[in-house]
Amino acid sequence: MAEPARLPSPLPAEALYRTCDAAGLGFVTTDELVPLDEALGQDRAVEAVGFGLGIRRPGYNIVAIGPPGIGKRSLIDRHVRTHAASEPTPADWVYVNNFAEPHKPRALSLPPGRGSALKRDIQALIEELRTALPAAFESDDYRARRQTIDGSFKQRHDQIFRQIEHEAKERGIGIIRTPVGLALAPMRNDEVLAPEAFHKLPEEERNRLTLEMGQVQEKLQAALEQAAKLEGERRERVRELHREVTRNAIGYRLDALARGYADLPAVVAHLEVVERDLVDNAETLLAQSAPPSDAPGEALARRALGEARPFDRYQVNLLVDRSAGGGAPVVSEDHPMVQNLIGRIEYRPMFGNLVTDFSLIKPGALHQANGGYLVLDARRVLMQPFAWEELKRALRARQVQIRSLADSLGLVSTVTLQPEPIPLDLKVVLTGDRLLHYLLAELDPDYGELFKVAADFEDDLPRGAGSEAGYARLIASIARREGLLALDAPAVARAIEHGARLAGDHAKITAHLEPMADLLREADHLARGDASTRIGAADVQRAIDRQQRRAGRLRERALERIANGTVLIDTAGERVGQVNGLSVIPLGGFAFGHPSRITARVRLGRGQVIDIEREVKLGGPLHSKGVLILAGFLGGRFGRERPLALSASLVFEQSYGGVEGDSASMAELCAILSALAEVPIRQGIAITGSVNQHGAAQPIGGVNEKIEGFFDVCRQAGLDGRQGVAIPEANRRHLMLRRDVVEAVAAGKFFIHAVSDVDQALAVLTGRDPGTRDSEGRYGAGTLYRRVEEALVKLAATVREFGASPETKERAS
Amino acid sequence: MTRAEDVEFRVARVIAALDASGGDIATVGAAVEFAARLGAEVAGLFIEDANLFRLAALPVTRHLALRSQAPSAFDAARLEADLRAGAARAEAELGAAATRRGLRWSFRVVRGLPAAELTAATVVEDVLVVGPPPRVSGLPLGLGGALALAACRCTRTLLMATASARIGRPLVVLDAGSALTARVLTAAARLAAPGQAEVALLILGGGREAALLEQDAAAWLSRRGFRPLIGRLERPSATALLGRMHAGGHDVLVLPADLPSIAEDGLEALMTAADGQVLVVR
Repeated sequence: MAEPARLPSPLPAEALYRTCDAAGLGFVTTDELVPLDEALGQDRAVEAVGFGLGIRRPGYNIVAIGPPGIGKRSLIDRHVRTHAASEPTPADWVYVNNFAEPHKPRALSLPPGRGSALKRDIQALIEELRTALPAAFESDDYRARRQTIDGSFKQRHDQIFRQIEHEAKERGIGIIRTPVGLALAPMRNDEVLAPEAFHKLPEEERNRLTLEMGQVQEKLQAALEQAAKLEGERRERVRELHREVTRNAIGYRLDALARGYADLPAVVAHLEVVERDLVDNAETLLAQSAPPSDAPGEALARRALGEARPFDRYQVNLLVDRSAGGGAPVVSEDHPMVQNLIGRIEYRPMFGNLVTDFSLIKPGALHQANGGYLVLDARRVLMQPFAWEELKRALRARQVQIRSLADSLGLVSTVTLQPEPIPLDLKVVLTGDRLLHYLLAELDPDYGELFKVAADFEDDLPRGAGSEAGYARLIASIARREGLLALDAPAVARAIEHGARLAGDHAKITAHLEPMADLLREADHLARGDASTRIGAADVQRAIDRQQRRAGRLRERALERIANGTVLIDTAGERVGQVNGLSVIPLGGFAFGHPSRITARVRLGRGQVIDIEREVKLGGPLHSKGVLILAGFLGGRFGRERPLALSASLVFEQSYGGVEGDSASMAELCAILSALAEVPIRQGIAITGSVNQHGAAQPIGGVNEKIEGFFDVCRQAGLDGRQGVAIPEANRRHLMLRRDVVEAVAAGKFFIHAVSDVDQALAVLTGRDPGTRDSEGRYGAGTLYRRVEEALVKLAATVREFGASPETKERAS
Repeated sequence: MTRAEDVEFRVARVIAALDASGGDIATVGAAVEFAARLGAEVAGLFIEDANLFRLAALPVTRHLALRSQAPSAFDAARLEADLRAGAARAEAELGAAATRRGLRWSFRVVRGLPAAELTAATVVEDVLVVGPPPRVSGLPLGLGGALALAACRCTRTLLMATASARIGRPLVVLDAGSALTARVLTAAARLAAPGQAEVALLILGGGREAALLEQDAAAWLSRRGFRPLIGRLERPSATALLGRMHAGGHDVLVLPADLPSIAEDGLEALMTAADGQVLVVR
């Protein structure tokens, strides 16, 4: 049978694969190339990053969006670090004890490097005090003055006691110490009068003793009161002496220290507070710093109580140390849990409880990056409970407040630390995929306010001589960075071609650097295994083949099921209402095409197309939409003069996992028309593409995988020179087919047809012209469309024969 | 002094004299430290003062509670319980302290008048250790629980302890008229801290006898590897002795029991006034 006039010519082999001219690259190996420092084809993103880094306004934080593996992070790192290096080093931050309110530690800011200096100075001061204070309190001067105070009070105490004792003794009364108090009793010869002896006393004497003992008791009580007052005075005098001794011991040391920080009033003020506290608490400090006795557990208990290190309260907790300088900090937090972002307060166990103080405050990434840049992965931040909210809170408030999560959530009401907030001035750079960006922009009202600069990374770059040369330099950069063997020009050309295949477009090259880097690493591994000194095109091809082999288990199983007849796919012969559609099965970083048998049946009905997949809830919305479009096409083309009295049902045979997408709508339309016209479809041809209501073919994704998938099935069954695939015309530019497919086409064993509409698709599938309307609007006799019309007329007549519409009949029944 | 060459300061036991007055921590600490320094056994002697039981039995006894300083009841049952508790506490403290220092120790409780019990429970070669008279709001009330008083009257070598149990820097008091000079020197040498090179001597009085004593004592110490630091005190009194002790930063005053200045009530006065440790050698 002669080929129909409207049958599009098969595509030539040259149209199926765009080669990269190795000779045109202009080098022998990549060793000759200057590495590429800049991101290739990411001008828009680079410009956005530059803008975002340059503008120092609140809210102008950056979000770098694009798919993973595209080089966002490395580009961001490079630009941020370059920018940060030229900026001033920000301040150090320390936390110190707040002696008035210990649960609210104070934050002090110092010029870079001086925080660590203050810490060292205070540590040195403490070391000095550890010896100087005890020495001051062991000095002859102190001893003498203390002796004078104690002696004078002791004398006064003794005088009081002697007076009361004398008075009691004169009356024959003794003052006796008991286990729990003091007793007054009649005495004889320094011994308490025995009860029998007391009873033998004359009544008058007993009465006198009783009376006078009461009087002595009153005097003893008065003496005790007086002694207590005296003791209070003594303690105050001793305390004042301690203050003076301490002031003399530490004053000049603290003055010298304060002089070194005269330009920092906050530090000087803190040192003054330290001095006051030392003076007020010297006695306690001395007692606590005295070596523990050898009593078991005492040292442990004192350590647990914090007494063994009484000077710790004066220490400096160096939260952020910028002594290394080097410009503004760039911090990348890979585990952005909330504590790692805003810092945390640690606790130490003490007698079964957890206690904390200012020295246990630990910085978070926000502290470390303050004054500079913080790079975060958006997805990781969002996956950490409360991290996103705390990050936003800090950015909004422009200060970082360390709080425990339990405290933030109000889960505990025990006293904990409330460190003074630290002012925050930093730029956050989020990296993430576009979906996250769009979702956050849509759903989080704070997002747009806080991340005003979006750096949108391209997925691919246009392919041309210039960009191929640039890509070659990029490959050279990867090889050099990874320590790979140099690639020769054909290897680079093959890698570029593979980059185009990954982009799914022969006019583009993928910007996903990670898969390309993987390919180069594996090619290097193979080349080294062969003791090669450079990577050749064969190594690259072997690496590609091995990647596909490793990932190809399911593809092979699918082919096997077709070969053994488990999955019914015909690659020869003709069938009415049956066509080979094509689908893509994505498996992570690998995808393969797979044919599916699509069948259509028609009968009397109301003009609807029944999507069986949708009816059983295996069809996705896009697939359903495609099927409904078919009804629109049928109505528009064949239902202008009469109602469509048909019902067509469509199904993906042996499909059990759901169908989505509209890339089979052209195939489905062809199957319905075949069924209506009862014109068979060639089973050696598979078709992919979507169709609109006017019958025009629309491009689909995964065209290369689909073609290769059907090619593999045909090759398995035996190529007979009549097999091929029909694709939408618009997909021609996406063709970067496997070499074996291209070779089969070149040999005339396989064909690729690019169709622009359903008419061309039917011509390819049926091998006959579907027909065109003449001047009277009728299709030529015997054409496929004429047969369709006739079938529809017949169906309509059948309906009329019943005298009522099928709907009426249905209602009547 | 030549006879002093052969005199030993042999200590069989160090007796910690304890009672219910609450000074047992200082007493136990000092006794254990002292015993450890001398390589002696330490024994606790808890005396339940018979006067207290008489007090409880008397109908006219008046009692003030220590904490409130207000009148409170005082009866025999309560006294028994308090004494038992005090004895148990003292025994535990002594046992723990002695065990830590690896000393042999014993403990017993006796009831009676302190002076008689102390004498009955000790032999000449024992050293008695008593705590300082407990003070209430600074007042030296309770006569040291009568224990210190009894100890002063007991004819044994006596150490009056303070809260600080340090005994490494003695000030040795020598008197030409004392028959105990050799024992005092020997005791001081044994008390000196390991590695200590200097021993401070305080020679009382003046004249040729004092000068000879100074020479002899210095030579005695030198032969034993000590460097004597000699001081003189012309008019000894309890106050003057304690003043020298403080001025020199000494932690224990070592003196012979036959000093005229501590005869009769002098020792009691010294004990009452002292706020450092005092070792009275007999």
